[in-house]
Amino acid sequence: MDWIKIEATGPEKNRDIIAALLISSGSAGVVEGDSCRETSPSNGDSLTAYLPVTTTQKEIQGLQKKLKTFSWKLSSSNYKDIDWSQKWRRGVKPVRVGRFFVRPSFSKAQSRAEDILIEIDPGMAFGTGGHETTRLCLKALQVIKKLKTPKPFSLLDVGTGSGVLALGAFKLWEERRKNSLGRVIGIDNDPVALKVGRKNIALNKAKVVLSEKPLNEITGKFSVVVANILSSTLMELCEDLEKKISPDGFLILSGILEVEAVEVTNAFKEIGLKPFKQMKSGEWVALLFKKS
Amino acid sequence: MAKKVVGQIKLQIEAGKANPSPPVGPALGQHGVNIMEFCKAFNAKTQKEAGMLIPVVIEVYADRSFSFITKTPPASTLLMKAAGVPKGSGTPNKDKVGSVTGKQVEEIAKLKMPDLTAASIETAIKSIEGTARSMGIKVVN
Repeated sequence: MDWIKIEATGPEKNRDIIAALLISSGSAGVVEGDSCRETSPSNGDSLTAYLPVTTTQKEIQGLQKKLKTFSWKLSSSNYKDIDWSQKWRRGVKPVRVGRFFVRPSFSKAQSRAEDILIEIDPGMAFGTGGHETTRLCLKALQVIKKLKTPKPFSLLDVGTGSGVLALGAFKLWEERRKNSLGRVIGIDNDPVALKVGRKNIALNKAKVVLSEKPLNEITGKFSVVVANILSSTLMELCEDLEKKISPDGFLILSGILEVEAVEVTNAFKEIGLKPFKQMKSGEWVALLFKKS
Repeated sequence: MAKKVVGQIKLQIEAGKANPSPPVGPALGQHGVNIMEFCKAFNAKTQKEAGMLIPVVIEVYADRSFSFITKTPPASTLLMKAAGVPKGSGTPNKDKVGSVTGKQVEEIAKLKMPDLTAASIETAIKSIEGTARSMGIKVVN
């Protein structure tokens, strides 16, 4: 379907009135600012609206006249609609991190026999595999997999988001040690993320438990604790994170900018954890610690 | 998780009626956002406010995941609803389309307070009265 795209610019103070006028003229809504514009207005505010193609020139001129009363201007052009509900998918590419192959469920990209496939649909939870901090954690899990970890293997993912790390750990350790795989838990304080995470767990047929419980209410200790949050939150949770690691267990921290790495390392060293490895991607680092 | 915002989209759309057509489709599609996921979540969140225009701010993160917050309806929408008129006047200085009471203005100001920069309820009321005048809606006491 075709539309008439209206780009309006003018003083910010009348923006909501202009938005109401554009909507009462037949637009299903408006975009504020530059999200849909080719160029930014040199000053003031801007709105973009889409009127049905049946809107006449006379009606557009009438709208122009009304906008002028509020010192706003408009320009109109034809807009050929695209099926955005399908097109956005083309931009979502699968991600390969070592043996992990992360792809959306609608992707036709084929995984290799040795791949560990994780299916995640981009949505309202962070962790699609597309960001460096997630990729660093997926790499770190594969590093730890080659080492001796407390048995049965268990993992706590703090700030689980889409559940991608808990899912990755489950699938990685499930491969050969089905009988010695213990609890894999993801926690998050965002109920929306938990909803998305549960959908991803069902999609991947994994035995991962997600919970809204705060970290200090999680009982027991884990072979590996992973937290991909932000360095300020990691520092706040420092002691609670340490308490959840089994002796000889590991901690993976991510979401840390390179410039913050020393400060975070020192904070966790102070509570007795041994720095084990540092991994870098772009401006981000992940820190691995061991508890003796 | 570590969230790096790579885009911010501001829309005004009717409660419970988001769909992939313009303006939602092009605005979100250009950022690679899962449009249907947004529409479902927005419609579910706003279904009780049917008929109201809802400003929404969507933040897009580096891995194409997103979050959004909804705000209170624009003062213009609330004033039209209170005055019982479908739209404001195109020539507010000459033609008045309706009226609202001072009490209605105060209620709108209280509702809008979280999203206004006004330091006090009195300032917020003055701002709403100004919007009413700009729309050709009289404030009567």
